Amino acid sequence: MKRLALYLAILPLLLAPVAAAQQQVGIDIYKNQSAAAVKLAVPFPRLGSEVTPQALQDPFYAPLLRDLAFSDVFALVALPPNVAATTVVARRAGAQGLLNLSASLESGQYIIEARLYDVASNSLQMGRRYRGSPAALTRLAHTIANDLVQYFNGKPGLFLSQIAFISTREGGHKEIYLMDYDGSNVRRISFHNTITLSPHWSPDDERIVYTSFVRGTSDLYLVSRHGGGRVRLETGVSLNIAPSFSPDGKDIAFVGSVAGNPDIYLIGADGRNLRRLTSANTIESTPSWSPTGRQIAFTSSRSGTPQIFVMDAEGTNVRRVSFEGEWNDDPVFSPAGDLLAYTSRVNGRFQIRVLNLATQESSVIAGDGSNEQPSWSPDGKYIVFMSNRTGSWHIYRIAVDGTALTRLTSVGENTAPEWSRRFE
Amino acid sequence: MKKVNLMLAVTSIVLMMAAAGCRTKPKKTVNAPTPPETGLSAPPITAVENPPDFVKEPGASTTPVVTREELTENIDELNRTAAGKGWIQDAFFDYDAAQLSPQAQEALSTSANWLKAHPEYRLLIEGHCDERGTEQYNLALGDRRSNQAKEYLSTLGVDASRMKTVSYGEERPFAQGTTEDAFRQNRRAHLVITGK
Repeated sequence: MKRLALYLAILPLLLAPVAAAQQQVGIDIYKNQSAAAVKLAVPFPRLGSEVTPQALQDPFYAPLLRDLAFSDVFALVALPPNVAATTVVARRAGAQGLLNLSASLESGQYIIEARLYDVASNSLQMGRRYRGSPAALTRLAHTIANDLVQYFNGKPGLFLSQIAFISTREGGHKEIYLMDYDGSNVRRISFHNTITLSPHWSPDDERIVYTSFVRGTSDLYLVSRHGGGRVRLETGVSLNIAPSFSPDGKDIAFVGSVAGNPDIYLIGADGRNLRRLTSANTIESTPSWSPTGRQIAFTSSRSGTPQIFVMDAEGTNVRRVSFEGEWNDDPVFSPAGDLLAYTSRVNGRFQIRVLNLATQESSVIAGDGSNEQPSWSPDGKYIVFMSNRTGSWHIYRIAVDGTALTRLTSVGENTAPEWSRRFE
Repeated sequence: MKKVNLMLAVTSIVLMMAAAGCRTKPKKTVNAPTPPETGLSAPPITAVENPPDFVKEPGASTTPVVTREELTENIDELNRTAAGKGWIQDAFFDYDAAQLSPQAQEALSTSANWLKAHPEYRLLIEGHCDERGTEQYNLALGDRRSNQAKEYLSTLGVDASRMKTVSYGEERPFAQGTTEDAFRQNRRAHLVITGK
């Protein structure tokens, strides 16, 4: 690993002319995203006798290339066709690394072997055997991509993370769905046939807390990520919206109301120990925990219009943090805790604003239409949000610097995206 | 005809079960009690142990069957009438506001008169918002609007225990579109009679 790192540090300098030649490759995924990226060749897997190329292309090879291209760790390098993929060939093509894959079938299970070579030294850097059913091929591709990112970055990729969201795509009611980080693999997990809102992951990603109007009133529910074991949290107050799991998983912050005075409350994830954190006679809404669990950001109308405030988790030490825009809501801390993203009205339109809590500087990153309800990727590099720029509501993903905008949904009205916290 | 047979069969099973419940030794044949209200006598019913399906008994279809059910008031119809005649009026709000304007107070005052004259009906007050705000905050705002209306009706003498509130925020707009008129239509406390 050390040796490869050394080569990788030197190689970009040596291979600069070759890199320029590669730009002729006209496929999107071969665009070099970053000068610091490792140039990696990933030829199509060698196949065992029972495995067809068609069986691997869409469920395995294409998502693997998409993952690696999406990471800012790798820049994919195309190899010349019909030539055995040796490290020599890879080096001539300008690659620094070569990922050789082989696929075979054993009792109905795919065995995929992945070998990562440093092309300069022709040495094996990482070798792993993966096994999975045909239905698990895409998950297998995400797992390999995660491992490669982990190998170079020290942190796994987000290819197995999930985005929960609300969609009307089946039956017209707002229901909870899950999708992969790239919008694929959509599964429905609620079947209430009524308004269902604001899913939020537990810190272990095993459960989702949300609001639904199942009983005619809005109540809090917990459900497993697989859609089973639904329970209602009896809070004893009304409204019960905008639930947010604490980072230790013990508490849920939410908006409760008594006699028309919405405030921030906490309740244990076991449904016990209700605590009221705010007591102003104004609207308090949309609580969100800092990653340490020491602070809670929320929206309050106490200064006249909806603005973002931060308080200690005990409800003390309240201070206003948003000063731009006449309507701000949906605050969410970045995973590192240094940034706060929120919905902010700019010139009459909602945008996603990212505020640096230390410097008080902020930037607006969304674009056309109305853009609301940001949620951070677990690595803090991306934000998902909802936008109606096409005339209907869809989920979009954008890098925190405002680049790489990608639409993730295409059917129905899609709102309230919430990225899972862990990497898998 | 099939329905009638099914009904008879169900009746027979219910009677069977009732009979079985009060007799220590269940008999194969029981006579159905005469319904006191109509004086019509039901035919004797042969009970079958574990009836595999609803077999038509001889003569069962020859006696006309009378059933009855309670008439319930059509609440949707009542709501349409009450709204159409102005007995029950919604309260409308300004943008990002939950205070009751003089017009909103007048509308609620009219509604209170009808509600006090009909103390048997219960009321659901829905809080609604226009789409210009954010989803979560608007749910909180709708909660405040519905409760403002409830409180005002209460001060006018409508028993608070008859009234419930719910906030739909911007989830169930009355008017579609992005005109000022549509927004105005959607900022309201909507009064719904829910039954007795």
